[in-house]
Amino acid sequence: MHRSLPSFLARVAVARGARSAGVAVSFALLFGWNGVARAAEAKCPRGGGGWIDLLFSGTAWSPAQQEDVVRELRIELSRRSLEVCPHTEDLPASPPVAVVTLLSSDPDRVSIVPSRLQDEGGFSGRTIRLGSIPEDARALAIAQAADEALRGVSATPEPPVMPPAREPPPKDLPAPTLAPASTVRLAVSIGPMLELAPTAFTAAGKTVLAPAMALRVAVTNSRFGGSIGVVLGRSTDFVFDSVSISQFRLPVDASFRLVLRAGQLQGALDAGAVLALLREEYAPAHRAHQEVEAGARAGLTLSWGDRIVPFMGASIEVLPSPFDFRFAPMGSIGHTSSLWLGFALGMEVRWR
Amino acid sequence: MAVTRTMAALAFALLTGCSDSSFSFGSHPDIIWWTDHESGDLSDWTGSVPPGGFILPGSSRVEVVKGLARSGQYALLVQDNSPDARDYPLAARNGPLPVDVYCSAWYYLPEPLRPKSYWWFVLFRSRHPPYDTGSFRDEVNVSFTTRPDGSVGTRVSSPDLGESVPPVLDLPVPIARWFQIEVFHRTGTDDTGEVDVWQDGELTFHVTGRNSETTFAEWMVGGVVDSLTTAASQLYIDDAAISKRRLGPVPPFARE
Repeated sequence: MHRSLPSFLARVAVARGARSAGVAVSFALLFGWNGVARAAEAKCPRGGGGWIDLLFSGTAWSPAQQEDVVRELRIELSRRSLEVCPHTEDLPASPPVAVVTLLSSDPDRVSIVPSRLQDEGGFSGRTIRLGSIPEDARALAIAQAADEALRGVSATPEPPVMPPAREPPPKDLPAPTLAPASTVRLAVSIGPMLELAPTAFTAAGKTVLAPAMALRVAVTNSRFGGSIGVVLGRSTDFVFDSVSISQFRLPVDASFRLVLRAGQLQGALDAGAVLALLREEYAPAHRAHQEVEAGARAGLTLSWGDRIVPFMGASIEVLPSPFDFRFAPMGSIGHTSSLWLGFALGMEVRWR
Repeated sequence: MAVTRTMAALAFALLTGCSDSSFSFGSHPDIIWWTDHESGDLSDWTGSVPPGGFILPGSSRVEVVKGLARSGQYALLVQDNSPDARDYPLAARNGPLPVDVYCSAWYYLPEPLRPKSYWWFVLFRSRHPPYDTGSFRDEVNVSFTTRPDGSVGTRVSSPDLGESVPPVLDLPVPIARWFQIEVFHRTGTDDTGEVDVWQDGELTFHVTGRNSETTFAEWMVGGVVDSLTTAASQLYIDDAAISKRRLGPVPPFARE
């Protein structure tokens, strides 16, 4: 078995890429591969920082389960600069911060027993039942439970502050798939925008195009939140045959936001109310008017990434009460647009 | 509190979804002159923008009256008080008109008008030096006529274009209902001249060729009438305009 498992793990490493390579190496060490091969593998712990000695015990573990748990626990503990090393009989260069034993002789039950070596006899653990957890989420559940158990162990006394690992965790580790429900995010986005008002909604001779800059600030808690946006643009012309009316428009909206995430892809749907400051000028007559129009706005933004991310967005504004452009003696020759479409590209910065 | 009021106002605006707000920018640049007679007098005809105009009552009546109007409360009433003689109650705008110009007005006949042979209710007149009252020639005119079925119709004639230009569309003139006559007039002392007439937006006459003795043209409405065969003698006129482009049957005129 020791000769065939490393081959299997190597195939896994090749198939899954670099992320699995560390796991494969860990398992190779765990199952005592031959000395030459072992010497060639990277040591664990690789850096001089803190690390957790992870011991699988019991008869219910499969190699694949162990691999998944190690991977998920590494993700959890990497935030605290702790490395996870499957237990071996080799003498490590430095003692582990804690030893975690995962005991499972029943496929539906795992006991987690963390211990600090300095506190002899201070064992405290917990048992989690896996029966109600989907198969593909069990490793994450075990890892999170182990993380919580380790935090409980380290509550008193406080473990020494670990220096940053010389070799930080691989950056291609997958992001946590379940964000804490209470996480509040602040996001600020800015980018160029093109607004257009089709002729059917103005009675103008051609579609009105208005280049602008869009600025939006959003605060979300998990999936819901709110946003405030403003669009800054230059004056644009509404052309009605021989008449050209210059319009400056400054819309500000307050919206409810719904956030949907799938990995690094995030979609944000904003819906709310918009108020726009209008200034209309007919230069030949030296006449200008200012007003505020009210309406509804909906916008969809797609972004990719975590902190500083590119985004693309589309929006629609509906203004139910457009203002007529009136000339004597014929009366109205058109009106401000009752609908604006917007398209934006830009960057978004997020904070937690 | 202010935020609450603002949100309430916004919600109201969104829910009602209507507003009579508008932006007024003065007179349309394509309109050279216009009147809705809401001044209650003839000042729009005689003054307003240069070069002004004039009234020729003849022995009849040309005045702004209250009561029957297409827009507002006032309209111009032209009444022929000389049923047995030729008369010319007219309201005119001075020339020279632009070479290409549209002249439009709305007309109302309380009863069918039955002139003995003609009632020019639209008239283009040319003038020549020294441009005094006697130095003119009546050119293109649109006249009321009686159609074969007895209804009132229109006819176009001029010294150069002939006594009766064939119509593109022979339409009856409605009685007791406002109707629009709009004329495109390209003053032509040679073959470049053109006259088009629309009644309520439909082209009724189209003729090209020399239509004026000089390039100095002025526009008149009202009546140049030989004599009447019935007692009916009233013509109301409202919402008159001279413009650079065709107006068509626009809604009643509005001031701002």
